[in-house]
Amino acid sequence: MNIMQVNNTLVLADNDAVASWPLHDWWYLGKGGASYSHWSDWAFMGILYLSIAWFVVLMGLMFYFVVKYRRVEGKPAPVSAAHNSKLEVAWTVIPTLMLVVMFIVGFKGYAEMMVPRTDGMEIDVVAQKWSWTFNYRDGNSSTENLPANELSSQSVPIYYVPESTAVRLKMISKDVMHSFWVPDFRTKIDVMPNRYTTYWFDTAKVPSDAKKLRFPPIEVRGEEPKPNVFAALDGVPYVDHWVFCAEYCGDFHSEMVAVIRVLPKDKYDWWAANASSALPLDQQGQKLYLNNCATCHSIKEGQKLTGPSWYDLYGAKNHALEDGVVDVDDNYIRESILNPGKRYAKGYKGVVMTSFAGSLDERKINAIIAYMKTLSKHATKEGESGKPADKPAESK
Amino acid sequence: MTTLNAGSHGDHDHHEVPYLVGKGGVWATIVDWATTVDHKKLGVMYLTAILALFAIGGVAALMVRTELLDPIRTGPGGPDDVHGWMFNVGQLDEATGERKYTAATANNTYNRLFTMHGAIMVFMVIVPGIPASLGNFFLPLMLGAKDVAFPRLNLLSWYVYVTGSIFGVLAIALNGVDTGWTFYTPYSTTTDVGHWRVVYMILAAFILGFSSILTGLNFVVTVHKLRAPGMGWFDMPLFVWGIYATAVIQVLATPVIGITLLLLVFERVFRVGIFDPSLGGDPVLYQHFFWFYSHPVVYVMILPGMGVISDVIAVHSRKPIFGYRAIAFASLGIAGVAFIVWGHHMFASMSEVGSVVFSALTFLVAIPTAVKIFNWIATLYKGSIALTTPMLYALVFLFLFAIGGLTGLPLATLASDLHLHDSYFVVAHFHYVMFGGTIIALLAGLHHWWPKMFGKEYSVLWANIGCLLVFVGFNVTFFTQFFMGTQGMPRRYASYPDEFQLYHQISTYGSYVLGAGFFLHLLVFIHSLVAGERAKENPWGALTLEWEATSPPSEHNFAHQPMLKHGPYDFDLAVPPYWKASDWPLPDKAEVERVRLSH
Repeated sequence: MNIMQVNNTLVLADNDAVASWPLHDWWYLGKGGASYSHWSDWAFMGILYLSIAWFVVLMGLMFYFVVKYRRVEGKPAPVSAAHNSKLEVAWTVIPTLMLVVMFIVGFKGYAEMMVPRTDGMEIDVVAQKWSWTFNYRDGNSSTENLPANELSSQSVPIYYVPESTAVRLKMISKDVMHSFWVPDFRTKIDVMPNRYTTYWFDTAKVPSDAKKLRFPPIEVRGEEPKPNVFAALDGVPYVDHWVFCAEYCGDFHSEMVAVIRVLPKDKYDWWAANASSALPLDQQGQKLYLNNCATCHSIKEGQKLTGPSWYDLYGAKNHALEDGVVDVDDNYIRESILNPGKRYAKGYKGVVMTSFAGSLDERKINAIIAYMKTLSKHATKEGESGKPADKPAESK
Repeated sequence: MTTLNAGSHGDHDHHEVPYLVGKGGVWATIVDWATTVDHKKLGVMYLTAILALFAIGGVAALMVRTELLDPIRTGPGGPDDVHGWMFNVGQLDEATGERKYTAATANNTYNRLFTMHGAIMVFMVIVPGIPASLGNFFLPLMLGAKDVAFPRLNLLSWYVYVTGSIFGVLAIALNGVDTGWTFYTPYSTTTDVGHWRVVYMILAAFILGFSSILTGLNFVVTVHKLRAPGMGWFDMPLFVWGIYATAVIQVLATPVIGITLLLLVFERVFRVGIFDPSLGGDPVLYQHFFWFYSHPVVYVMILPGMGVISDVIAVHSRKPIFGYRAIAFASLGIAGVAFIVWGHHMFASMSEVGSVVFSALTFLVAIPTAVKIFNWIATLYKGSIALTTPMLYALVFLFLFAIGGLTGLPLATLASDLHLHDSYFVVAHFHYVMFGGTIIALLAGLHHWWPKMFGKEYSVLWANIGCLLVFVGFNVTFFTQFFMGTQGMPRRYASYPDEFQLYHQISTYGSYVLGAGFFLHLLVFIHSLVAGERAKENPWGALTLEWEATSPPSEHNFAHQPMLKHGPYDFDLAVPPYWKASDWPLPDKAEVERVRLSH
């Protein structure tokens, strides 16, 4: 085995093929989804059984003594020794040995969890308040979201990964501490703003009797529903794993959720090859909106959330600001995404919006602009509000 | 075997007037209490404040649990399709003057409520907890002293506590903070910009720390210097050992959190870059600083409780504690190892090598803790056990603390902790040890020493019903949370996926039963003070020196300096104070000698 140093984490080079293992299923632990998950479950269950045994013995003795040695008024307690060296040494040494075993089991499992495989794929993950963004190395990102009613809240991005593959996530936070927890994999790692942390897992084979994907038509405002561009994935089996943020990070900490969706290898490959070209720009923009903006910006008329509504926003003239007015054109939108503190919409003075500089590149900004056009009556068919795009936005 | 008959001197001697009797009119009494250096009055004031803050923190918890019955979530119909309900303070819209109620403000209210619960409970209730109330009251009495070593310092401690608590209440009155009681950076240095309440809450903890340090210092010197003639270290009650070990930790560890909190304030106010990476700092550094204190502080929380349990079990089984020296040294051992395990709170953010070292060290602290539990149960063997209210609470303690301690093992184990960290499993674990440990021990101690403190009896029937409600309610509330945690429910979540709802509902209904139990105890205590029967001087037949004082004790505790004639638990050798020899049958002396000599 070769051990290399990559980004301050030890990486094992190991050429064994990834075997399929049965997904463990304890009713109070849930399915164990990665190859190392059983370390956590066996450690936990071992300690649990040991604890139950100790507890039954201790409480049994306690209840037994309380009953057997009930006070009888007028009779003193029977005389007994106030210490017993042999017994005390025994009940110190024996638990110590048990604890040593626990530590060793914990250590071995920990090593499996923390030392990633070198084969497989790597994905860059960005955490921010309050979303997870997977940036695939081939330029893809999420193209599907959980419908709002599955989490009963905001949309949740779904990130595809192939089955039977080792996946390494190189993670960074844009703002505060977050933590990446996949309960099915039984590990979490904190995501920090000042250095990368690595989270790795290997996926199991997708069982053929798993749930199947469905791709319903996509609604676009003012037009007929379009057939889904991912119809090729319709009927494909998949396995989902929740990703929860596990380090408190503010208002929507409990909704900073994602889904890792394991697909059969060939279907994943199809998706990776076709994802970015498959969607038209405004639908890409809609996905980006759902994953980055929906928490704070509504698309319904007049609905004020943490940020202003996007309904009829694009192309609006003399849109009210705290200081003056502005025509909402491409430049103003770009400025709002990259430098949000520069100007505030009326009624939103001082509301802090995290800048998306560095995580939304120019292509993605244009996708969002394209989506915003579909929400506004001010946008013409060509999308321009009448003002040349390279003139800076003015406030009057 | 001397028993001190303090009551026989009569009431004409003004030193024999119980400390609770007023010195004149209402105003004179208020001034007397406000300027007192009497450890008993300070203990009673601390107790009142602690119980009042416990009630406030408890109400916050009930609100948190109520919200989790059916949290706010948006349905398939979009942002307007809102389900669930919760306490929602809302946010003032400056433009329209209306209050906005949204999912963001609802979650924000939730976050402020759980922070309020944690901050009040940790800093204002459990850390001062037993040492400030029962410790202050009984440490001098148990040592046969008139007061602590530095009575005026004790008064200062009290006022520092009041000041710190006022800062905390001020922060809450200004709508509270949403940082969590742990103030992790950079969230705590960047949230709530433009408001001072986060700074007030941090300063509250900072100020309260000084109360802790001064009390700790006072107690250490008291134990070293004010023991009665004849009382060696191993003649002290185990409650004193618990208080002593606690005091050592308080003095050594608290300054670290003081500095940490000060640095946190500097970072927020002056933007000095220590913890915030955008200013060049390191957020994990904050975690190290914070937990370096906050781990030892959990032993500050539990050691006095363990001391209470030792005394209660011994007295109510009329038997010497099994393994006195083991418990005494285990207390010191726990205090020592407490300082080298803080990293187990950070397995998900610390280096791999650090995590391995801290995991190994953490198992070390489990051993003296387990030994104590074995000793307590062994004390019951061949005892003469009365199921009084204090004893019931001591048994409840053993049950709940055993679960709390055992559930710490998967958290010390690295392979399982990466799953359980920051989940409801941890929440359940620490409630079992802090609530099922310290608070239950406080209740045991209150019911044990109540007759001595106030000279009144309480209704045993209703106190026992309260105990039953607390026990049942507690287990329903928190045992459920272990299952939530293992199945993936993170902590500090204002809402959750549907699959967790049943667990949350069970837990919430349990919390209502728990609340009812405490409310019943409050009524029992009030009734006792107002209309309780006069208590006997030594209802339990205990042998430690505090029972030689009157019930309640006089201002200077004892009429004469007590001289120690027997050990604290020599139930088979000594007749307790205020008991007649004919009512206290002693076993055969030769038998006692034989058993003692054989070991």
